[in-house]
Amino acid sequence: MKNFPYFQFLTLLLMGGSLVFFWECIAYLARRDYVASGLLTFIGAFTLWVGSELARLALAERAA
Amino acid sequence: MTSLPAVLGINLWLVALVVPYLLALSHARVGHGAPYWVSAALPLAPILLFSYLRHLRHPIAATALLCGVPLLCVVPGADGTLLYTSLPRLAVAIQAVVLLLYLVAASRALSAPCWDGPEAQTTPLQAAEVPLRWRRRVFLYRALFVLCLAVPLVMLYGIDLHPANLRALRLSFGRPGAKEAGSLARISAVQAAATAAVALLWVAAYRVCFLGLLSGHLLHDREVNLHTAALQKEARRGRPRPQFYLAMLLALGSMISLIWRSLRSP
Repeated sequence: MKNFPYFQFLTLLLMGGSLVFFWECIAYLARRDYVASGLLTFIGAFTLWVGSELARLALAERAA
Repeated sequence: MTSLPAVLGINLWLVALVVPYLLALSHARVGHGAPYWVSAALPLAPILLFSYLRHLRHPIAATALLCGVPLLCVVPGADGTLLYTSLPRLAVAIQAVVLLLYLVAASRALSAPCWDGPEAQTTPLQAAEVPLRWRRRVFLYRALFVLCLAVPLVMLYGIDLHPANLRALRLSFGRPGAKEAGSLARISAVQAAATAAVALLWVAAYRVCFLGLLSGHLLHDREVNLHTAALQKEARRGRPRPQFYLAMLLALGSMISLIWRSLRSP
């Protein structure tokens, strides 16, 4: 458990999760719900941002 | 070598402008006036002066050869006035292939060094084996060349030749009950605009996303190494930056507003 790469795992999870939001964005666009698809784009982008910040923490943990 | 772009340029002028113009003339779709002949003859000037313009080494000369000649050949027929009937797909494909070959030949001729002296003689080096690093680099250059050809051809096929897309265009832009030539002109105009937009997009994307990275790598990735060193120095803090909390807050806020919106809507 000690050696489990938590930050790397969370980074991958969040970056993969952001793809789900982008996929849903396309689905909402097909339904012509532009407000929802815009919100989902933002959610996907912010999720990617959080993932990238966790990747920095993973880098720090590896360097330590 | 400079004769090849000139020959291809004349070929492009013939297939994209002269032949459609003569066919439209024979079906009385355009007039016999001087303006048509002048506009038809305009692309010839840079083509015939190719060697001179190449030696000028001026940006205007390169623009005239790479943008001016194709535009002057393609634009007069872009609004469909030179069409008297639907062009066969083979004719469209030939026009696209000749245009691409002309652009490739002209780019290569413009980027080649100008040397009017005797041809240099080369002898191969006595190297036993090409290092792996160089073999990878040669493979990468060849792959980039193939990519540069394949992607525009696929896009050209999708916009101008793919049957399903052509049917969709006819459904979207052809007016039922209208004269055939009118709807044909609209479809041709849409195809021309889409082809031009896709070509510009691909040139920009190729320059930024592929050649940009390659040029950075050829400079030993200085910028990437500096950025990585700064990142490692910053990451030694071991704590999340304020941006982490801001991004988390924004993501949660957007999710809450989406859920609230979906609950409110009927």
